[in-house]
Amino acid sequence: MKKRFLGIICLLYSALIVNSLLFDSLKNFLAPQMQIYIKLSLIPMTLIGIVMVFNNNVNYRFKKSDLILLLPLVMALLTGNGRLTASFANNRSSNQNVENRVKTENNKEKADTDNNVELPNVDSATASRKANEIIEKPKEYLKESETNDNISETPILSNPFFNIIDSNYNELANYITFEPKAVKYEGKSIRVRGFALETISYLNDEYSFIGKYAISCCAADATIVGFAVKYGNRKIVTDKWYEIEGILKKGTDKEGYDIMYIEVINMKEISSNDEEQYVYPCYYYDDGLCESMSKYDLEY
Amino acid sequence: MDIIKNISIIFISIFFESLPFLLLGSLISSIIETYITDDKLAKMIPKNGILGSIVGIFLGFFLPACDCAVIPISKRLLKKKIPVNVAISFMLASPIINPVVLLSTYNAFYRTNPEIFWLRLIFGILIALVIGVIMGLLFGKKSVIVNNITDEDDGCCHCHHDNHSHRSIKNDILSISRHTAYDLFEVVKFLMFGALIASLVQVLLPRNILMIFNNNQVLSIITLMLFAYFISLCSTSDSFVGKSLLSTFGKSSIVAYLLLGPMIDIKNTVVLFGNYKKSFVLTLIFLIFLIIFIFSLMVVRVL
Repeated sequence: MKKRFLGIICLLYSALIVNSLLFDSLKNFLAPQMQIYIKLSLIPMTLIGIVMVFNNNVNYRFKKSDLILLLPLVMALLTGNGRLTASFANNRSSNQNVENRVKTENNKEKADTDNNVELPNVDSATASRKANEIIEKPKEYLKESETNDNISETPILSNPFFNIIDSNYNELANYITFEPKAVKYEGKSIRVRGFALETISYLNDEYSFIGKYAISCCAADATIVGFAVKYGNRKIVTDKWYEIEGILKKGTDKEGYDIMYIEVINMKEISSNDEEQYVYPCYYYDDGLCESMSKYDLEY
Repeated sequence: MDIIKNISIIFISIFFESLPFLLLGSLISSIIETYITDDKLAKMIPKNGILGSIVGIFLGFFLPACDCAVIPISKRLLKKKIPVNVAISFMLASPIINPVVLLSTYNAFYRTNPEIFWLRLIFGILIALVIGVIMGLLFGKKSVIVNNITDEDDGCCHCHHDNHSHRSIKNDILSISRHTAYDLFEVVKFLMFGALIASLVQVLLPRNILMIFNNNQVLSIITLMLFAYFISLCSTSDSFVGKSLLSTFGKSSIVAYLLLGPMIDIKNTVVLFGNYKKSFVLTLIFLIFLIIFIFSLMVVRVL
C-alpha cells in the first residue's frame, strides 16, 4: 500500500477533478479559459495513477511528509458551496484602472497624468432634476402592462439605458463608476444584479455597494467590480444578492475623486444560485467580440 | 467559518490552476530523462556563459512553461549536467516570455500603457540573462540539486537511455509515467505549503495595507515586489491585478510587480527549497529582488 501511495494520490486527484466536473463546481475556482487545462490533465493523471498502483516495478519509499499530498482533498471539503463570501470583498482591490480621474472641487484639476481631460458639456442641474423626477414618480416610467402597486418588489424600469449583464459587467462597472467622461450619463437609468455590501473600503460610508468578483485566471486573482449605491431607506443585508434599478448620479469617493453612483429606485432580492459568481473580461464572452459592449459608444 | 471557506477556495483555485502545468512540466522533464542523453543536450549548449544563457532564454520561448512547470524541467536539465546559467535563464525567462503570458499582458496594458508591455518583455529577458550569468559564475561547478528520489530508489534498472537491450515502447511509457509521478510529487509536496501560505496572505492581509507606501516611489516598488511575492499569482493573471493597481502606484512599481511574480513567489520558494540547496535558493532570491529593484529604478528615471 505504501509503495503505491503516489498512485493512489494520482487517482484521488483525478476523482477530485471528476467530482468538480460532475457538480459543475469548477467554475468556482477557475475562469473558463483555464478550465480546459485541468480537464486535459484528467486523462494523464488517471493513467499515471493506474501505472503507479498496478505496476510491480514501482518501489517508492513512503515518508510521513507525503501525507501533505492529502491537503487538497481536505481543503476541498471546506469550500462549502464554493462561493467567496462578500465580506472577503473588502480585502480585494477594486477593478478600477482609470488614470485620468478628476476631483470634484475643481473640474479642471488633473488627478494624475499629463492628459488633458475635457469634461462633456453636461448640464448636471438638468440631469439631476430629471433623475429626481424618475425617483419621485417612478410609475410614469412603468411598462404599461406591468403597472404594479407593489413597486418595491418587482423591477419597473421598462428599458434601462444600461442593462448590466455578465458579459459587460467588468468594463461597464469600471467605466461608469470611475471614468470622468461617464458624467454625461448622469440621469440615465441602470439595472444591475450582484451581492450587496453595506460599506466598502474605497468608498465613503454614505455609499453601499453592489457588485461581483471579477477574475481572469482563478479565484486567487479575484478583484471587486461593481457600483457605488445609495439605497435610501431600503434595508440591505451584506452578502445577499439583489437586482436593483436606479438612476446614475455624480458623487465623490473617499479621496475626493468624482464617481458615478446609483440612486436606487427599486430593488428585489434574488437567489445567488441563479447568478454566476464571477465575471470575466468581455472578450471571454461572445467569442471574444465584446458584442454586449458595442452598443454603448463609450468615450474615453 | 467564512475565513476558512475563503482560504479553502483560494487554495483549491491555486491547486487546480497549478496542477496541469506541473504535470506538463514533469512530463516534459521525464521525456527529457528518457530520450535525451546528457551528451546530446551538452552539444546544444555553448560553453560561453552569456551565449549559454541566451540559449536558455530561447528554450523558454520554444518550450513555454509557467512559473510552476519550469521547476521540474529546470531541475531535470541540471541533473542532465546542463550548466547552471542555462537552466536558471530558462527558469526565469520562460514564465514571462511564454505566449499566453504575453497575450494577457498585451490585453491588460497595451491599449493604455504599451510601454509596460514592452518593459515586462525586454526587462524580463535581460534580467533572466544577467541572473543566469551571475548564478553560473557563482555555482558553475557545484551541485545545486537536492536529490529526493533517485533512480535506485525507484528500482528502475532501465532508465539509462544507453541500455538499449531493455528499451521498448512499453518500458519507455512505464518509465515516463514513473518519472512523471516522482517529479510531479516532489514539486507538489512543497507547492502545498506555498499555496497554503499564499491563501492565508490573500485572505488575511487587507489589500489597503499596500497604500501605506504608495507616495514614495522606492517604497512603493518594494511594496509591490513583496505583494507579488506573497500573493503568488500565476503569470497569466497577474497582469489584470497589476492593471487595477496602476492608478494608485507608479509605472515603475507595476513593472517591478510584473517582473517579480513570474520569477519567484512564496509558493515557488517553498518548492525550490525542497528541490535545491539552501545556499543556491537564497542567492537566487536575493539576486532576483536586487536586479529587479535596480531595473525598476531605471524605469523611474526613464518614464
